[in-house]
Amino acid sequence: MAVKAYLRPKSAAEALSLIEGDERAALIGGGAYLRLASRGYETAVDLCDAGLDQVRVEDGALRLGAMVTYRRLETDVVVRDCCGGLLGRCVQNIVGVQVRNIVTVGGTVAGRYAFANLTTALLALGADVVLERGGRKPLEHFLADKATARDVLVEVVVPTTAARCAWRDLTRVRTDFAVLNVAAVGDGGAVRVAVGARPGAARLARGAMQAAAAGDARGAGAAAAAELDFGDDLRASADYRRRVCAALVTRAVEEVLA
Amino acid sequence: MNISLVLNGRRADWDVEPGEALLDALRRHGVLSVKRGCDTASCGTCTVLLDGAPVPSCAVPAPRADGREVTTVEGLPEAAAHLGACLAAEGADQCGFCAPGLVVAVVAMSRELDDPDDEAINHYLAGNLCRCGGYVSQTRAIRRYLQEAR
Repeated sequence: MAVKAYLRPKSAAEALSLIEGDERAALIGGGAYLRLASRGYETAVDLCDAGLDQVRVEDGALRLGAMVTYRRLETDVVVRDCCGGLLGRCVQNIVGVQVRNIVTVGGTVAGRYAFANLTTALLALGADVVLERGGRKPLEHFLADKATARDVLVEVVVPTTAARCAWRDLTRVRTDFAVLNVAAVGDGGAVRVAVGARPGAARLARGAMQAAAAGDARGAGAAAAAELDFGDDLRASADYRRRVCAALVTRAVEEVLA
Repeated sequence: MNISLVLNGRRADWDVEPGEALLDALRRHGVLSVKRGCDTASCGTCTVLLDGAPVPSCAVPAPRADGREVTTVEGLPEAAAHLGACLAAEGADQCGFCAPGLVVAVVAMSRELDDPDDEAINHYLAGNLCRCGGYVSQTRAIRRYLQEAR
């Protein structure tokens, strides 16, 4: 399906009105997958003029507009000062600077890409998403929803109370998608552990979180490997991923507990 | 659809397809330094500056460039000549296909990073692939360029 119209709405509300009731219209996010998009659409709706590229801290939370790029997560001092720099660290090796200048927070989260390091980190941080129509909801719930609702992701809200944040991923070459990725976040007495690229979408590992809260890093690794599902793809087998998961979760939790 | 951009310091008014990538629009308008490599935003050979930031032009919709500044290696003649000479002097210039995108990325890096070491150079330029595999000599040439250009 060839793109017949390209629109740059001035607000999220206008963008929603453009995609509502028009199955042939699609939000294109950063555009990095423009050529790889398997789903055709006739009208491309680009949010680049919608004022969604803001980074701010408000009421103890970091608010990232949907069009904030990965490069901003690495270089923006406000983002770097939050959550131990976890958000910049988890994206810093994704392809190259050029790609990180166009890939966006909103495109990643709304696209529910299972391989995305950022989604794993945001899940461990306990982030919420804000939708133009659907309002604010936990990222965990958003990821579990079917991706059919016509809505515009406006921003991601990240609590900044995390005391210690650890990131671990395994890649075949440094700039490739991860074979598996893990984020662990210590907040008060609790530890949140998320595992993504299994190759399924990021999930919280609740058994691992319980073990981590009890100070048992090895137990957390074993629990995560036991409770999550793993699959085969061209990067790794399910069995390999399960073993990698146990090791990376153990190391991430050790770092948080140290 | 009509777009208006500033290309290498000059205003350009173009008729582009709504689904066209900036890479295709540039090449269709004779800007042939911008090479088509992987066409999947992985290799860096189509790198241009969009409002000063390096981006893969194969993954930027041409209509997004409306009202913005696009710089290709044609707009960076001094850096191109200087870095090109360094690449030649260090034996890093092999087939040359990746060179225009590399020059644009190195210029962006030199504006963004203050005195980068080899690790910082290699990290910044990880998105610029060289299929001849000349990375060691390229890094030498880039270090030389950065020192001389300082």
